[in-house]
Amino acid sequence: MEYLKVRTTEGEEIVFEREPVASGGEKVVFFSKDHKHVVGFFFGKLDDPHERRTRVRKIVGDYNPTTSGAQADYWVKHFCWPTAIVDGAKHLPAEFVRRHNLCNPILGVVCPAYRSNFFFRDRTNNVREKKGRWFTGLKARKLLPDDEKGDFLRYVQCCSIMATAVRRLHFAGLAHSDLSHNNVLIDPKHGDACVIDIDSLVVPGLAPPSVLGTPGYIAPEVVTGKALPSIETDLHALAVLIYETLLLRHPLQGPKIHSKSPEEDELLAMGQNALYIEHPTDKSNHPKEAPEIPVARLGSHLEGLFQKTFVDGLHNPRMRATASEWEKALTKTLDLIHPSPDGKQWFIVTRGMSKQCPHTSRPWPAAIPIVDLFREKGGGAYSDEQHSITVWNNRYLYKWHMFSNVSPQQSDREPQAYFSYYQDKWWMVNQSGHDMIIVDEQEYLRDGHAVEINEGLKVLMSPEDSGRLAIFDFL
Amino acid sequence: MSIRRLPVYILADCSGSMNGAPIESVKSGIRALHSELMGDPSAVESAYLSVITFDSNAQQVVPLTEITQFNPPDITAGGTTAFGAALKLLMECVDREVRKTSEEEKGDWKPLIFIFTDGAPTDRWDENAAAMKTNRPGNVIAVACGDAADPEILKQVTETVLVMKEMSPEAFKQFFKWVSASIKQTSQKIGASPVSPDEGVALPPPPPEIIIHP
Repeated sequence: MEYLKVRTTEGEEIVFEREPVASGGEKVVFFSKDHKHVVGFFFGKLDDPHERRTRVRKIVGDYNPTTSGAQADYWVKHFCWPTAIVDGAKHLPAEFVRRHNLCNPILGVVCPAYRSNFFFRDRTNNVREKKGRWFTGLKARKLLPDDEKGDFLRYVQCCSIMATAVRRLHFAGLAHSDLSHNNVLIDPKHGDACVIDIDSLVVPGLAPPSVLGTPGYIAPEVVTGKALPSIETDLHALAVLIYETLLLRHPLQGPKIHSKSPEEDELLAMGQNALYIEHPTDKSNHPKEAPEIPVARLGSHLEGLFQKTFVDGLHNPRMRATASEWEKALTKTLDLIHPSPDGKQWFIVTRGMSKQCPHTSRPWPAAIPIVDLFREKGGGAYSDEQHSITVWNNRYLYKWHMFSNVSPQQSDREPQAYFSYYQDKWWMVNQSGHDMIIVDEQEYLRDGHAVEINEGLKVLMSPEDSGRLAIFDFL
Repeated sequence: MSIRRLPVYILADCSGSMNGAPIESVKSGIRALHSELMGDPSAVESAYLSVITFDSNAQQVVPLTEITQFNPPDITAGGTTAFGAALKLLMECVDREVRKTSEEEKGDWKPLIFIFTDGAPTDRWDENAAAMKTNRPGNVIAVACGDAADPEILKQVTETVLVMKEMSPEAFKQFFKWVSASIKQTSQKIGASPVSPDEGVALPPPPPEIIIHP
């Protein structure tokens, strides 16, 4: 293998392989010699060389959440954030520059290599990156080894990380501008995700990049040329990504025909005439055969946000669900997930939903306990948080369940309680290190002790101000 | 709801002049193309491949097949250059295999068609070339390989004509790499991009071995 060298603007030397590892729409990408980094050089003629340099500098610098601040360790895992810039590299061989048609003067970004769990070996023994499309495309899925496919729980976890990552970008005023299943890696084996291609972010105060996105994920107002990529258009793409990841179909690709020409048809179907395939009243784009898993099987939290984004907000960007709403809804949905009867899958079940697992078509044969969470409003009054937990044997509760002011992001992963089906009865076991209160009996549920779960059981999980009240019921 | 297919046709000249290294380069080029596409989930989802060869006759050696089912064909070189017959067969295949939008069903994308030839046609070709220009069965990219090929003839078939001066294995390799990059880019970027649908597809810049014939 032959190597070349460049220096970053910080003066660090990067030795990289002469043969590219990948090539995208704007950049050709090379592995560093130690395979810990990649360097991507922009090719072709940059239409905005000055703007782009400023943008890349701001992304690597001021707007970088992975270098400092709270949770930098978390963001470094879930973003492939550029770490350095190569600006001008006159000594690179002319033949190399010409062959790859690199822009002049040379501009490149250095990024960390993807973590190893974002690669898999396909059935032909080639190493591939875990682009989301491998897992959501019905044909591509067939090329995946079975142990990479993961179960439904892991896909919900992948979505949860995507929403969290996008929320972080939007919180800083940044828009990704090209969220798609090519630019998000997912690892459903471990429930992990990483947002890549960070260098074309929309940065506040700078013109948006020329990339308008990937077809299928571009918001209708961008398709029709009425808007440029922004936080609002990201919200369309994020909803498409979540819908595809959980249901393995596209939310707008239905049978409705808009034009004889496929190109014109697609433009209308994704733009001016875009219509949700599960629209509650306009059924003209509903699939001819009803999908095996309709969106309602994802539970009301997600169904509601899909409706908000693909019905109310499809042509009205300000109505779309925000990344923060998705993050919260996914957290709540993770609490409704229950093992399937065969123990190999997971499904969402709560009040008003069938106890038949849609992945395995088998019904759950017994009653399922469910907990509704309430927070104190003050003066002994409690308000329903519209947050339930579906109980299964050995399910844990964490601090973000016990306290209304703790989010999963901020919390440790120490279990505070668990549920157990033991001697034909359901039990809740306190292991929080503190006493809980069994409300109606005026008794304590001491640390290490269990209470039998009956319909109507009320447990105050902590007497502290933000401690939640749990009320039990059975499905 | 199946997603739209992107049909890709490769028309390969297998006349006697391709014998030896060139035909081997084409064969390994098609193998490399297939394995490249197998590594791209978007191409796996939507691209379909067909290979048509022409020598003294034209034959469709692989009908339009999805990437995961495609077997690179074993092809040999010999005979003359039935270019006209190849164009006719291509139009028949596109007509038969590419789904058109009907009242009930969405049609396929406009096919991507790559034609390469290393010599002058030995049959009547002008009528079929004219028919190609009128009917526009897809986005056609024609490549004139080596000195004996006449890019002006290819200009009668399509506006997009490239010239590959040298018929070295490296040049063929670069050519097929470019074909696979074009298919990947098209399978990802086709569709609702905010551009006029009449503009056709934007392909990646060809490698240095291949120059655009104005």
